[in-house]
Amino acid sequence: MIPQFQHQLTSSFMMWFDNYLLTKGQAFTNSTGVFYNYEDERIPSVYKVFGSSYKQWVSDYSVSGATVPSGVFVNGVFKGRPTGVSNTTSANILDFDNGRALLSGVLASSTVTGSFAVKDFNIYYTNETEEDLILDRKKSSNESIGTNETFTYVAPYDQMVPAIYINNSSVQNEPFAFGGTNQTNTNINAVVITKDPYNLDGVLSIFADSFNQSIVNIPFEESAYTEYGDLKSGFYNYQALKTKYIDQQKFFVDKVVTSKLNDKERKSLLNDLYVGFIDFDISIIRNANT
Amino acid sequence: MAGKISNNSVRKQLSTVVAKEFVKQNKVKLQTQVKKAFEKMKREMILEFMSHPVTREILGGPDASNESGTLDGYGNLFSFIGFDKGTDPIEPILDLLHESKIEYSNTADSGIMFTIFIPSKQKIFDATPLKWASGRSWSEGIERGLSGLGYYLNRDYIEKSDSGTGIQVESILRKRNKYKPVKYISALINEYTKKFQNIDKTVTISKIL
Repeated sequence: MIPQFQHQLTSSFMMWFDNYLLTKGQAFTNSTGVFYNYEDERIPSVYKVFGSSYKQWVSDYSVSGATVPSGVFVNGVFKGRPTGVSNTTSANILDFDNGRALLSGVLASSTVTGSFAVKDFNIYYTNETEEDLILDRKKSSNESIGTNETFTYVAPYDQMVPAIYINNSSVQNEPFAFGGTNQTNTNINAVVITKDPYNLDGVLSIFADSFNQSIVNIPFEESAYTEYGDLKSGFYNYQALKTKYIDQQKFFVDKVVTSKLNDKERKSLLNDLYVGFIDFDISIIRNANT
Repeated sequence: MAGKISNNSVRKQLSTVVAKEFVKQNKVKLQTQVKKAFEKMKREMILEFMSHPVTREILGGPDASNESGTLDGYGNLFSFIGFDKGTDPIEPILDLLHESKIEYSNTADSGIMFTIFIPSKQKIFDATPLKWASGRSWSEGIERGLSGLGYYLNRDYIEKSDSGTGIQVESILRKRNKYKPVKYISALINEYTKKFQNIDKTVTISKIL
């Protein structure tokens, strides 16, 4: 199936959300660290997997002050990944989502180090319900919640807090003008799970102020990542991408409501975690038949 | 002749008085008609709200059946949203609908105009916060989607396990079908904005914010 309106909205929203949080909130921490070797059967055997103690890394070069890694040091020698070409078959891959390097032609015993900016909030797109998201965390207690401060690699594919879970909950079309022009209203909800109230309040405050923002409609094909979580062209700059599509019809943030799980309820549910909600109403005027 | 009153002048004055009286009577008549139509429509609006399956189900309390179909027949909205037993979540909405009123004023051309005040949907959403996340509105959630967190968080409904952690509720939630949004407050307010507007061409609608 070719990408539909919903795919385009979701990918444009995710890119905007990530950039907005990283730039307005400077919600990242530059870090340098050792990488730990481990096995991952999902990765072709030609690569050795070296994981950092953090995920997700910042990949957006438009975020001022963030160290976007272009490679890692193997036994003190820099191993960069190629830029400007398709990056799915290169010798060195950086998996920004899982915070790790996939390296070919190196020994598992190699000492791998690198510098990178870690997002203060992992951002996930999810189809899970809010209760599932939060109950899962209670059920699994601290073991799979994890922290971003372990002294070994972070297991790949696990979801870690602090995190923001984005869910595209419903879409309605309303007639707007003659000739089949509609106003498409989409409800997007975000569940914010943090370890402290300071960060929770910060995120809620940033996005409460996003009311009346416009979100550039970026084609789905411009998605920055490869199947391994590296950058397709070795370079991703949200502001540059935004400028490229600035003349496209934009999505509009009609309404934002932020709220927090009350303390009494929170204590009965999550122990040390803080939960907030951001409910976005996003609209766009479009002709669904074209 | 001095002191003689012109017939034309008398006729003119008389016709002005008659015309004024005619306008006045017409205004009173129109005012009565519009007010009566407003009161009738207001009653209809409240009745329509009270007979909405969602309203009826919530009024049914924690033992009601899911007549709105929003939970695929499993459980009921009162428990799912997490209201406290013995509370009446509908009351704030009903109060706001009852606050709907009509006012009239004279226009510069001796006419009359009416303004009907009804609550905005946002006003209703603001008056219906979720107990566990006060920035969110349950009545808005009815239309755009609700999570089942309220059910889990409300200890009144927890069928406590030996450890008292509500594990059984968790399993209930997992069996439950997801909430299906339905039209509720927005549709009602939009419908009656149009209906009130159609009472008379002199009517304007003002939303209570």
